[in-house]
Formats: sequence, C-alpha cells, structure tokens
Amino acid sequence: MLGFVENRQIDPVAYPLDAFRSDREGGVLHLEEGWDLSVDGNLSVDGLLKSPFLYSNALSTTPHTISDTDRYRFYEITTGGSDFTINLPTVADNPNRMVHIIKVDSGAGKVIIDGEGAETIYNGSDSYLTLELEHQGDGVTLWSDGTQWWRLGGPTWKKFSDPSTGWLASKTSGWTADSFSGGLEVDFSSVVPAGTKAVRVPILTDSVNTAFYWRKSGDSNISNTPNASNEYSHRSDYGSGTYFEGKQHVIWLSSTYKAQFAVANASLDLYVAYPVEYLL
Amino acid sequence: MRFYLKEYPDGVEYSPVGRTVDQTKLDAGFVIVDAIPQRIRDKEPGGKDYVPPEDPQEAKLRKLEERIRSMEEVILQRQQNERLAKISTPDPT
Repeated sequence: MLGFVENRQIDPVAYPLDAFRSDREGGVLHLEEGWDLSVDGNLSVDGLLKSPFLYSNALSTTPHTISDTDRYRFYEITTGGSDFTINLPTVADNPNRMVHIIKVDSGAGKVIIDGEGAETIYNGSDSYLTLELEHQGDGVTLWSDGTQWWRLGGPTWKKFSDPSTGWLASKTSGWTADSFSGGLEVDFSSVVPAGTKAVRVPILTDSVNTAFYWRKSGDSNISNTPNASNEYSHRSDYGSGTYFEGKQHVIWLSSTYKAQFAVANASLDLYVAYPVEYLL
Repeated sequence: MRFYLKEYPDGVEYSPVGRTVDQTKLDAGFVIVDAIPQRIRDKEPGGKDYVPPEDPQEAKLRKLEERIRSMEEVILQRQQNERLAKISTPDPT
C-alpha cells in the first residue's frame, strides 16, 4: 500500500499493487509528456473526465484552419453578416478524428466547410469539395477514416428562409419531345448551398395536357429518351382537359447541382419556380 | 442572378447561370443576361400580358364553327354562280 507524503512526491515503483489511493484532497497524478497510462481493466471515474477533445472552440474570425493538434471536438461558429470559411485538416494526418461544426448565430453569412486542397467530403451518395451551413443551428458531424471525410447522420431537409418569387427557369419553345438532350437543363448551383442533394420546387405546366420527365443530370438509370412505360417513377402527368397546373416536386440533383427535364409533347410550356426547401 | 436566355419566334427558354459558365449553352445560341427582360416576365403566368391558352373544348367548337361557316360560303357562292349562269345564258328559243 502506497500513499503520498504531504509536499513530497514519491515515484511509485512498487509492483504489483493491491490499490493505489490518495488521501490528500486536491492531489494530482501527473504523467510527464511521453508517458502513457494503459488500463487493461476498467477505468472508473467518479468525478469529471476532462479533455480538450471534449471542449468546444468558439470561432468568429474567418478563415479558420483546424490544425492536426488543436484537439477540439466542437467548432461553434458565429458568422455575422459575412461568410465564414473553416478549413479541415489533412485527412490522412487525422485518421479517426471526428469534428462537429455548427453555425450558432442568425447572421446572414454562411459557414463554408472546405476540405484541404482537393480533399472531399462524402455526403450521401456524392462527394463535395465544400459543404455549407446557412441557418442558425445547422451543423454537421464529420469523421475521417484517413482517406476521406465522411458526413455522419445523413442529410436533412431545410427551408429557405426567404425563397425568391417568380420563375427560376422556363421553356416554352424549342423542345424535342421525349428527349432530355432536347429538353431543359437547370443549374441550381447559384441557388442552393454546397452539398445540396435535392430540392423541393413548384413546377407549373401550361398550354397542353401532357407529362414531363425529370432526372438528375446525367443519371443513366433514366433513359435519355424517356419512355412512359419504363420511366413512370420520374414522370409527372398534368391535366385531363385542364391546363395551367402547378405541383411541388422533389428533384434530385447531380453532384454539380443540375437537373434535366424532358416533355412528352413539344407544345408544353414548363415553368420551374425557385426551390422552397433543400436537402443537405 | 444571371440567366442564359434564348428567344424563339413562338417562345423563350431561360435558366440560371451556375457558379461556372457553361460554354455549351453559349455555343447553342444562349446569351447571358443580368435579368430576364420585363416584357418576357409580363407574358408569363402571373404577368400582366399573360394570355391563357384556349380551352381545348372551346378550340374544338371554334374550329367546327369555322368549318361550317366556310362550307356555307361555298354553298352560297355555288347558288350565286348558278343564278348568274341562268341569267347570262340566252334563251335557246
């Protein structure tokens, strides 16, 4: 049985030990740098387990680069009115590292999470160079496997706080029926935050009762010349004696934020509004 | 927001310019504008110059009426021609 003598440090060298206990209040067991504490049994802590890994880093000055050694787990970002860029550390130098990044204020700026150089973040089924957080309370959990950053937990739907009015895209002439390459491609990249996988958007048709098809740009699962008998999952039928109809659709986007539309009748007028929600 | 815009004799196509300009769109004859002109917006659903398309049933009726009218004109013209022919043909006796 060993104990500490007040004001005098004793190097514990006895082996094996029945128990190791300090009766001195405020005592500290300190291991110098380079020493490891290895526990084969259970580690039981009655007090608090404190570590910089559990701490949060409140940030408000852009840009900020997460270093390999800062060991924070939570990054709470106040953007204010301007965009805030937070750069991730090198993925290969941070295997098994997990970071939580949260925008904590209601300022107009967005958080831009940027992998180092060309390193990407995998979100859902696609990789992105950056992810963006637009609203107060938006956050992501990222984990590095040493090769790739992974966004954990999956995307969620978020509402645009002030969607623009009017039509974002329109095609009233020049269609080739049943053809995506003769149809309309819409690039949503200037409308949605980086990392967006899908949008919910009102679409209106006019002039003739028919249907349109949609696909994320370049999706080879949906034929470039869509066929009603094969592609019902990506078809929306309008009218039966009526015209000027609008419906909301969930449109999935390519990793470059594009979607394509084709029509069954080239006389159709198609109007795509600004999206009201996005999935990120 | 900037838009790619292409105008046809009977319509228009426009869509937003993304973060990078798509050269294939420019090659296809689209121009980039800072905003869609108001005259185009006015003709869209919700715009002040919007003309709703004709109801399909009314279109059918209108075309039938036009056909009947043109047939009536043809019949009237034939009757007129027959009357003129009778007047101008001398009595063989």
